Parts: sequence; structure tokens; C-alpha cells
Amino acid sequence: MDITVGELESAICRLRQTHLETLTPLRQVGVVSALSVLAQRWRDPSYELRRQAELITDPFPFAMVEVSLNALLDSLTPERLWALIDSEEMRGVSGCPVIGHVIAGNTPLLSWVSIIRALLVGSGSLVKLPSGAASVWGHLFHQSLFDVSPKLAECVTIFEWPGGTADLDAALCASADLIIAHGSDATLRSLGAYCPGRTPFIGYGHRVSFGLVTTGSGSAEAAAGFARDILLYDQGGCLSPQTIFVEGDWSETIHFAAGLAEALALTVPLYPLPTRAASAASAVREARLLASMEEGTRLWGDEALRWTVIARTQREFVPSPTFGIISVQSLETLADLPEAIALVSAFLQGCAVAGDEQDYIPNVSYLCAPGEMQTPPLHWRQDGRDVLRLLPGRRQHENFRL
Amino acid sequence: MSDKFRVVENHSLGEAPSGCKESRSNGCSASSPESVVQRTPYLASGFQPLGICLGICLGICLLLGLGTSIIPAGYNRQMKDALIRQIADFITSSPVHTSDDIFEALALQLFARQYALVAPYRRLCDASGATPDTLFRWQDIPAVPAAAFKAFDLSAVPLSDSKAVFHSSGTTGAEASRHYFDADGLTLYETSLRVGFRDALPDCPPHLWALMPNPEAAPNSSLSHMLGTLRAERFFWEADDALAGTLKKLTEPVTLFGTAFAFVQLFDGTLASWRMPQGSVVIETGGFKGRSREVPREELYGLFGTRLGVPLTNCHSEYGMSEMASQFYGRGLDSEKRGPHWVRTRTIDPLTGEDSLPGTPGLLRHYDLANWNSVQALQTQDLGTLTPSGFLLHGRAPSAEVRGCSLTVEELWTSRSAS
Repeated sequence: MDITVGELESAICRLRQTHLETLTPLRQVGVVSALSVLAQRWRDPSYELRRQAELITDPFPFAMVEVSLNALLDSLTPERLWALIDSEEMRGVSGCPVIGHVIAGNTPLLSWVSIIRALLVGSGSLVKLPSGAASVWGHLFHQSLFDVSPKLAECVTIFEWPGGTADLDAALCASADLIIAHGSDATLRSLGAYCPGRTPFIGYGHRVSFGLVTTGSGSAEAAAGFARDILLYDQGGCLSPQTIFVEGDWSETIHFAAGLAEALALTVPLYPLPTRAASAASAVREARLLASMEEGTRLWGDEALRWTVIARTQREFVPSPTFGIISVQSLETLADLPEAIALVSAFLQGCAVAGDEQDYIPNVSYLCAPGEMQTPPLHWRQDGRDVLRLLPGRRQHENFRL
Repeated sequence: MSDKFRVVENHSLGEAPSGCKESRSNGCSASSPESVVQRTPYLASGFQPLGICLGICLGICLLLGLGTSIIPAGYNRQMKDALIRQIADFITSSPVHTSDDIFEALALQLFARQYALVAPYRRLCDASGATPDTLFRWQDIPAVPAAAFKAFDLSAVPLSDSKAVFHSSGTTGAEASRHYFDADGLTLYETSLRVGFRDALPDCPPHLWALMPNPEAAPNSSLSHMLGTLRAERFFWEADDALAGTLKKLTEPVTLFGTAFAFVQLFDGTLASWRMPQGSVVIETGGFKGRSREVPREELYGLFGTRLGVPLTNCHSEYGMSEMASQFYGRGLDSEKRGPHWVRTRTIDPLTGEDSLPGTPGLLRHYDLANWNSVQALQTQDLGTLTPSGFLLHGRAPSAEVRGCSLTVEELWTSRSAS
């Protein structure tokens, strides 16, 4: 759908009105109730929108998104929603009238999370979805909201336009009361530049994650968990591990890497993807060839190019081209970890730990067990920030800018 | 000419030069190129007769006067290795007299050498079970990704013995490729680029001007080195006013060789147009790399006509890369590129890793005998379709994946270099 700047500005005006007429009288109790009903419906296998979602294959099959969806739905009980609101001392606090959301590509449920958080503080949402197949998930949420509460659904407007469309980006940033944007550093810089001096801007940039296996914890169960973390979303998420460190010597690393390869082979049929595109296939082949040129590496991979395990002797974090390429590396002791991840310390998001030792984990915003990396709860403090307290209106935070 | 023939005769495939025998008797290690060649099975057994035939064939070609006047006589006398002399002779022979069999024999010997002397390459080969003992076709020689020139020092000699190193010109902030040349390799490179240029563009005006830094100013630019080797008379770099003034005064046809962005910068910097003398030729190479606005190829070639007065029939393109010693050339807007007879190209289906189906695009994989000191087989990320005389270049495989929220390797490099 092609939209104009005028249509975008009109939509924001309408959202301001609905903020006053709908959200403010509805109060948080009404929003919490509606969201919990929405979650119940999505849990029902006969719910029409869920049945539609189950047919989605592009960019990811339903089986893949379902893992994260279930975790999100778990967060939408009244008890958990109030716990979130209270933990950030946001009970009774009203947010700004209209939040502009810019959603990153290939992130099916990101729009859900962003809109839900806005609704919890009584803010209307103008959502810019990325062009591409993943946007269908944003529309499904909106339809679902309409099923539950048409009035609440009127507080959300969804548009799609290609990233970098200057006039629309500028109009959104100028008209909304707060901008929440997800994307690359370049995207965030560009959008931030459009925000007038007093429009708060919250940017979530691209990030990386890693895994850790402490001594004696490299079990088949841990390997299976990591296999799921790697395969979900084709390793393209900020919570997808790119390197797994194994505490111990080289033989332990090789042992775990072989187990991980086995787990990946077993897990990959659960999350089918279309045949790899030429560019992705080429990237995988190149990564495998380059790895084979390194001294001492061991490599496992499948013919369909869905997963590749590279056991490396080097200690430092190795960024992955994604596409299921995971590096497994030795750490003599956990005290070496900070140095090993120094390269990406400014970009860390999450870490899955197999084992009990977590004291050495540096400042990541999401710490979990293997298999849980793609199932963060609604209250996950992405980038270490509060999720609701960031959203109040302009008057309270005139100089607020992130 | 007789000198050249003697070289071939004395050191035809399978016969180690006397110098090497001396070296070995003095404790020459297995890392000596000659000793490697000696150890290769195809020389020790069935391939030796082929090697002798090869030497005879090359010798006959040279006796027939098929060498080239642009290559200084005796240019290869100082080359220490018999194999490189044979490759040089193959390169300087007429394409009519160079067969696939000879190419294959040379390629396999070069593989044996590079397998023995370039450690990261040997590891790659070993991982796939490809060794000089197991390979019998040039097509089976493992290729390194072009990115390997960034990650590894691919050199058959210690880096301290290299005479030149050429870098890639990427602008993403990522580490640049490094292509090392030892003395013999550099001579071979210069020989190959001269012959390649002559054979591809025989009618170019001899007055050659380059729109790029001169080799002294850019010692790590393979393009500048190439134009220096081709004896470009003038180099124009960030001197568009001087070029514009000089173009006005031209009285003889000129070959103007430059990067696409240098041409665009020239055109964007002034409203002036020129009428280069009839017979002038334009050769463009490379992309824009963020150095100028991006201009579609059709528009750029249109500007060659309207702004320089050079008709499309006199416009050519060069396709090369710092990781590869040899070049490909195309004419006009035709996207077909043709390589020299010492280069073979395959197109690889990225999904299967095998040859793409005839007539369908695949990733270009080049085998370049002039890549003496590094690795001859190069896997690119460029898509192409083979034609009877070359390949159609389609450019980079388009990225079909929409990114998620993970940081890319490129972003990481960019952010590191920015900080």
C-alpha cells in the first residue's frame, strides 16, 4: 500500500484523538484484560487467525515462530502483565499520546511486543512495518486486537513502506511524540536525525549473542537447546548465538562440537526452510572454505547448507555470517571470557549458559539456558533498559533521548 | 628466439633444472618448488610424457615465431623455476597454439607447487581430500574464496621475499585483500597483463592515459601497477581540471583507461564536452565503491559518447580483481567478458557446489596460471553465465534475505574502524 505524507499525518492525528477518547478512559485494567483475552484466543488451535498463521512459511515457518509466540503469550496473563507494570512502577502512569514504531525486517513478533508495551502505558501506536513477508505477523496482531476490542484496535495504525523513504520517515519522526526504532546503526542514525529536538528517540541497534558451556555441562540436552537457538530464525536474530565457548581443553570442545552437530542434524527437520538462496548458499560455502583454511579447525555441516559447526582453536569471539554457522571455541578458564568477547562487548545482547556458573557472564541483557534464547518474556529488558518506563509523555522527559 | 626454445627444451615438464639438483644436493628442503614438482605423481608416472610433449609443443610454437614483440626478449631468463618459465611461455604463445592439455598439465603442476608451499591452501585441500596424488583434472583443483586473501597471507614465499603486494579497494571498513607477488610472480604478472591487453584490445591507440593514481603514489594498487606496466603516458587523479584542459587540446587518438567513478567525477565536475580524436578508445573498470554517484552502465556509456565523443564501438570494459593476476575484457555494452587463454572459468551452482547447468548463472570460479605465488583457483561471489567465448557477468548474487536484528560481520568491521 502506497501512503502519502498527508495520510500518515492524518493517521497520527486520529491516534491522538483515540488516545483521548479510548485509551485514557479504558485505563490499564482494560488493556490488561484485553491482552490476556487475546492471548487466550491465540492459544486456541481453532482460532481463525492462528489457523491463518499456521499456514505461513515465509520468511519463517509457523513452527519456528510458534516457539517465540508461546513464550510471548505466556507473558500476557493478567498476573504477569501487572507484575511487569508494577516492577517498573508504571501503574496508573499514562504514556505519551502517539508512539511511532519502526520495526526491523524479518522479526515476526517484534511489532507485537512493541505495540503491547505501548498499550500498557496508554499510548497509541503508528507502526511502520518493514516491506517483506514478516509484516503479515503485524497485521495478524492488529486483526486479533480488533477481534478482542475494536476500540483498542483503533489505537493502532499499521503502515508499510520501504526503509529509508525520506519523506515518510521524516513525517513520522516529526509527528509522533516518541519514536522507537529497531534496525542497523545506519537506520537509527538516519531516523534520529529526523527527530526534532524534543522528540524522544529510542533506538535498538543490531546485536550479537553467544553461548557458554561450563566444565562438564556439555550434555546432549545442552547441545539440543543450542541447536534450537541456532536454527530458529536462521540464526538472524540478535539473540541467536554466533559463538559458543566451551570451558576446558580442546578435547572437550571437540566433543561438544560433535554433539552439537548431531543435535543440529536431528533438529533441523523440525524447522524447515525453503532452499537456500544463491547468496546465502554462497556465504555458507565461503565460510566453510575459509574455516578449513584455519589451522586446527574441525568442521561439520549438512549438504543442504542449513547448519555448520566450526570448532576453532582460537579463543576470541568469531562473528558469524549467520545462516546456521556456529563457532565452538575453547576457554581455558571462565576468567578468560571477558577478553574473549572484547571484540563485541559493545554489541552484546544475550547469553545462554549450560551449567551453573554465571558469575563470569558480562553485562548482557538476557541470560538464559540453552534452548531459551528465542523465547524472551515481555519484560525482557532489551539493551538493559526498562521496557515501560521509557515510554512516558513528552512533558515528563523533555530532554530524554536515547 | 633460440634462447627461449632452449629454456623450454631444457626444462620441459618433469625435468628439474640443474640448479635445483644442486640445491637439493645441498640440502634443498621439500619446500623448494622444484623438489615439489619432482615429487608430484603425474610427473613421476603417466604425466611425465605429457610434460615432455608440453615442452616440445611450446618449443615448436616459439620456433614458429608465435612469441610477441611486446614482451622483451629473454624476459624470463631470470625466473628461477622451470615451471614458471613454462607458464610464461604458454602465456606468450599464440592462443591458437595452446591446448587444453597443456593448460591442464601446467595447472596441475602449479597446484602441486601451491599445495606444498601455501599452508592455508594446503589445509583447505586436505579437508576435501584433494592432493597432488589425487587430482588429474584442472577442474578438480580446489578454489579459495576471494575473501581468503583478506583472512590469510597466501604466499608461496616468505612475505619478506615478496616484491609487491596489491590490496583490494573495498570501502566497507573491512580488512583489505592482500595479494603478494615474489619477483618471478611479478614478472609473470606483468607479462600476462601485457599479453592479455594486447590480445583483447589490439587496435587501441598506443597513447595510453590512466584515470587513477600513478604506481608510485599507489604502490598497493594492482590497477595502477597494471597501467604503469602498460606504459601509460599520463596519470590523472583528482586532477579533473588538468584532464579537462588536456582533452581539449588532443590531436591524436588516445586510449583513456579509468575507473567508472573517475569518469563520473570528471563528467560531474564540469558541464564541458569534448570531441576526442577519431579512433580514441575508452576502457572503464571497477564499480563506484561509494566514490561518486552510482550511474547505470548504459548511462555511463552514453556519456562516453556525448561528453567524450567516443562511440559505443570504441568503449570497452575491464573486469579484474586484486586477487587475480589476469584480466577479462568486454566490448561496448555487451556484458560478455573474455579472458586470455591461460585462464579457465567455470560457473558453480552455490547450492550444489558443482557446475551450474549449461546456460544458467552460477558463481564464477577462475583458474589463472598467472597467479603464481598465491593460489591459481579463485572462487568469486560474482554470478555469471558461460558463453562459448567467455561469460556473461551478472554481478554479485542478489541478497534474497531480509536481515533480522543480528549484527552483521560487515557492520562490526565498520563500527570497529569508525571507532
